[in-house]
Amino acid sequence: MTFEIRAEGVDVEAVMRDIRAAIEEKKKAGLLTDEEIREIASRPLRPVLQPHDLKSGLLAELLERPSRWNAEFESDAIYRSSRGGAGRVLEAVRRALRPIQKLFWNPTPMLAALSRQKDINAAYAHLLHNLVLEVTRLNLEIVDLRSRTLQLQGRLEFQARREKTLETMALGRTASDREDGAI
Amino acid sequence: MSPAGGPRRVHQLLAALAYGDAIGNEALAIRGHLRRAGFESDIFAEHVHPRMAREARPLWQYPEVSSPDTVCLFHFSIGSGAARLIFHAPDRLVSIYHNITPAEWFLGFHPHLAGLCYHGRRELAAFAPRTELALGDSEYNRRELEAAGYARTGVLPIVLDLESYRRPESPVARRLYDDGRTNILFVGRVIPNKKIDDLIRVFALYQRLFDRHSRLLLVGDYRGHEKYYDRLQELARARGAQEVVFTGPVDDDELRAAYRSADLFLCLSEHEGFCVPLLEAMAFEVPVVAFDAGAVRETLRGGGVLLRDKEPATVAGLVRRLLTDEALRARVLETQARAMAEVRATDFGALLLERLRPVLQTPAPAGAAAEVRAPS
Repeated sequence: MTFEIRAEGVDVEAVMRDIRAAIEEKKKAGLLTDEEIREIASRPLRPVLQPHDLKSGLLAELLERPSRWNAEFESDAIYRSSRGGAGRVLEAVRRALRPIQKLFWNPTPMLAALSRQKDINAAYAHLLHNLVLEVTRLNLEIVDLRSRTLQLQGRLEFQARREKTLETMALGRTASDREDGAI
Repeated sequence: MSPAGGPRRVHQLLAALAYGDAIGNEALAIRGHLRRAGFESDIFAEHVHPRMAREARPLWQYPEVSSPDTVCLFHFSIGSGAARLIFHAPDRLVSIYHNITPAEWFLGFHPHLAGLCYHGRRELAAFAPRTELALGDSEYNRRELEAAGYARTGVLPIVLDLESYRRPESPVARRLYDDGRTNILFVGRVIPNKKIDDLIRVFALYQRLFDRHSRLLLVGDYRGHEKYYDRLQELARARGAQEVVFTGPVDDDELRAAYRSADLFLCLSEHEGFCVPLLEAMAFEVPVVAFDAGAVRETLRGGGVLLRDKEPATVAGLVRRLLTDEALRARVLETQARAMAEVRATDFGALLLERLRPVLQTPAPAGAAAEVRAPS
């Protein structure tokens, strides 16, 4: 660091050397380490997030590829097979036997329930997204309110100090007036 | 000054005439000098502080005095109704520019103000063809006017009411601050370009390394900039800096108490169009340490200590040195006394009339007001 003083007889370099020596001395005395000095000097201000600027990409991400998290369910899914060519034959047999199968059990309520569950999952995704957004906003507002409370506390302490000073001055004045016989 | 046929009416237009504000005080001083020189002169303002109610007329009365023979000294400010009014009025226009903080300083802390500042600079450029003469209160501001396209520019430094500094200070505030602690003072609005965060960093180091019994006294309004203020409070707490006092807006007597209680004035601001508090501190014989940015060097006129960079530990060391080395302090105060002698020697009234001479001694150019375009 350098500085300018437009005064005669001031050796800026010598002053700088003295300043650096004084700081080194303090460091040696254990008052502050280099690391602490760096941390104090470079600590940035925490960025300010505005609650109304918050945007979450969660919903867009979920809606983009629902197959990753939601059941892909259609009414004929229970007859499908994943065994390639043999599977296709198996699917055809299952479809052919579907009327007979229905004599033993009714898959329709199960299909309806699973289909509904798929829709419910999608609704939960929306709900979760909105909750995440709202909780983050509330969290930011709480941080702000906490700061505001601390500010008010600071102001209150300052005002209390002012009040105390005023009281001391008023008391002092009353005492001196009494000594002068004014009261 | 005004020849036969020259204008006799020189009025001023402001967005706000505030109490204790440097621009308001300058407007009052200009009016006084103009009236003494025989001109009809009033101040018109959009917003007038109740304490200044007698000093200004409301903006809506301006059309009563507006004419092609009236010279209007317009104190340029962002997003004001006064700007829209004068842009379309037939008056001869002299703009007085006190600087617009670049928008980027407010990004992240005050997006609305950032927008206003951005558009304010565009508006400044739009006023260039409409303005006969543009005066900046420093050479730095004059250069900005030139860059914005103003053809005729000049410098009219802010006038200080040095007599007012002799008035008594608030005894309560004086007693409050004169409690044996070392007072490091900064005066100015709590806004990001003033780099109050850097002041807190330097002070935190100063307090840890040299003087536990010290106070950072930050005198200035923070209303409207609560986000930045919040972060500063947080920074002070995180760094363990004790006695960082934000006074908020204060009356003149409390400001005088702050200057009289101050042991050193520290300014690490990175954008200043003039910086009146530097002159005030010198007038109160408080040693000044300031970072060389914007118009700071000009305003100091060779007084005080000018920092070329601001590595916090070294600035803290320099502050300590100035507070403890009587000889160095005396030398710095000598430089400040010389600078203040220059300020005192300036005849503001004569300088004002000299700067306005090109407008006051010439009749209005025919059709000047008719050619203007509306601001974007």
